[in-house]
Amino acid sequence: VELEALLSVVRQRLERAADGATGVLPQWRPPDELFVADPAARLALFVTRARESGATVEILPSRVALEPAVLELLGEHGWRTMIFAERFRTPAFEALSGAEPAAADFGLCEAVAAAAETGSVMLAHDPGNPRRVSLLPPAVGFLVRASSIVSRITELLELLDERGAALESCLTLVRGPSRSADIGSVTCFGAHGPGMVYVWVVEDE
Amino acid sequence: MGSVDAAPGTFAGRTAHALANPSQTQALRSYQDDIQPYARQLTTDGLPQWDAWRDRVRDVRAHTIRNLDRYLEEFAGNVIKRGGRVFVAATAAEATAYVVGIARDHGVRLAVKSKTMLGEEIGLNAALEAAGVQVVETDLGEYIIQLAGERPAHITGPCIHMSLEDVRALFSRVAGRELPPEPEALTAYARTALRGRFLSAGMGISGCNFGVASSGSIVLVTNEGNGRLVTSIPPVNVVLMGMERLVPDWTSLDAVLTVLPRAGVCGPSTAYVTAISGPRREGETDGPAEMHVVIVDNGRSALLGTEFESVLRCIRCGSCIDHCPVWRHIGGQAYGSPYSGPIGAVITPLLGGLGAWPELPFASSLCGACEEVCPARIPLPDLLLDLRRDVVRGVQQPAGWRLGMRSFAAATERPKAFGSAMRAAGLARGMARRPKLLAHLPGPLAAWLKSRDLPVPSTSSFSTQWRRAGKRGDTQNRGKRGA
Repeated sequence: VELEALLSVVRQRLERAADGATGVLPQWRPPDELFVADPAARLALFVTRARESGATVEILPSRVALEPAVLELLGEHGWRTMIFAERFRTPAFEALSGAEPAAADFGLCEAVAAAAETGSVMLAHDPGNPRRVSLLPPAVGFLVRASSIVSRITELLELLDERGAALESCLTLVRGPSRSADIGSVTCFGAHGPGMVYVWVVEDE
Repeated sequence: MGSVDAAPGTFAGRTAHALANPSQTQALRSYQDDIQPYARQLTTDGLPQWDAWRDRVRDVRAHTIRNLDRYLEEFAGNVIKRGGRVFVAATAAEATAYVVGIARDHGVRLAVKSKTMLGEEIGLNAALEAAGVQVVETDLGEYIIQLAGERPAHITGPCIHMSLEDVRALFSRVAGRELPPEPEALTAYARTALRGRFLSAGMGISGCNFGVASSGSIVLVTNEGNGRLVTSIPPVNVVLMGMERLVPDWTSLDAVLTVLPRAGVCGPSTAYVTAISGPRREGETDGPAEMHVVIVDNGRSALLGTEFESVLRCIRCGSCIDHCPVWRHIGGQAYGSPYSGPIGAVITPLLGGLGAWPELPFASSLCGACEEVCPARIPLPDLLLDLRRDVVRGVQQPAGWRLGMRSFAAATERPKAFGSAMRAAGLARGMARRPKLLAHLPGPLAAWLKSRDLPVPSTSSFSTQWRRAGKRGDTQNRGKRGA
């Protein structure tokens, strides 16, 4: 009822001034030079930009190399517990699930896509990929498939339009560590989200 | 007509207070000097055809607003389809009453809030606290000013006027122990202090950068992660959205999402862009069980079809503030509104009424820097002039202000006249040894004269530098470090 009231006010106001013209929004695409056609060049750009954002990036020869890479990282930092997206459930990782998930040292997520221009990874949250895995721990790791790297957000947004009703309850584009420059205008990592971000890129299996 | 939550005191009083605070003056100056060259670099390096992007942002926003009825209907329908609830608030009072009602229904005693300027506009915190609900701001800057009992100085950097030592002293008082003067340590302190609140709050309140009509989604553009926590952990999520904050679909968000972080100078992108489509789904552990989207009018619909419609294109990046020579001197709190700088001087009286905010359209030198940088190409100086005209045409003004306002307005409307006024100001400053004369000068000029760093007009006034730079678009010539 209130919405109808508002809509009628809006219509009244717009009609009075609009001369009846309600144009169509023209199609538009960013300049061509921002789209990198060569996959190897796109991967290279993603790695550069993700590093600039404060992430640590490593290219893995295969997906099998992920588990040892994660275990090595945890060992290096003395991290004892982790939470992870469902598809990473292995005996080794399961053994590291702590009693208190909100207090885990590390979170491991899978990105559904990545944008080279900004070095961002895109997460699609569903029951197997809870938001907290990339949110509560002080450090987080993302697995990115090389073939899922696009040039920029243009292509990701086009994907979202295509998903329509299948759109997840939450999608997150992550660029590097959580940050704030509110104190003394100095950028500090780890404001509320993870202050350390690791990205592992794998060629497709 | 809407209402905008106002700070106590008068514009003149708040300005005088701000100018008498050397630590704040220094903080504002170094903030702008740091950010202006950086902003310029971000809008040129790595993003070709900056002006074409601005054209696109203007077109997307203007198109949405011209067809707002259609997109609002589509948006609200899709929010409901995805399990969310929609409430339309005509006024600030209706919006706060609704949120207070949800808190009561759920027995909420603690609410965590991520930064929402609309929340500040409608005075939500005071309304919730009056109803016995504790509200904790979780954006670091908002948390700091909430603890300090202050109001935001900048729409994207609420505590930009405070020094590192100010924050250290404040946090030390709250913590009951001396904290080190290191931004990292103080940030870590806030993280620890707030984490428990996220996990125990009964309600999360967030703003909305953009609503996507085609899917009923809420898009949040943030850096700290508190916006994600507020919308993911508490069982109830309330989203406050200005009714104009829509885009038609995801693709039309492209230019807006590309330009916002660059104009807001966080970088090529923020740390997080979050797209929320309804409450948590079956099987999900995160996300609210209940999601309310409060669509707020509060004076916005009255701007449709008027000469002020273009201000609804604003994407709240804060770029006009970063380049405003008046904000540089008086800071955001002097405006008395949550919205400061050029956009604040325009939108505050438009939403809250010229009767309540007659001074703000005059808090500008009309130098045009705001329009030069605005990514939505809002003609802010024109709108300021239109508002001044409306003030002069008979909206009531405080008696003592009339003369000062008129001369200030007349002088600033033309650069040459402004120059002579500034030179006169320079002369008057020479007479400062005779305080009686000075005390008779009314209005903003009196406040400017009291400023110790009033530029010497013939050599270093803003407008002189501007002319000398010879190119209005070159922001790098403005800041000290860029010159």
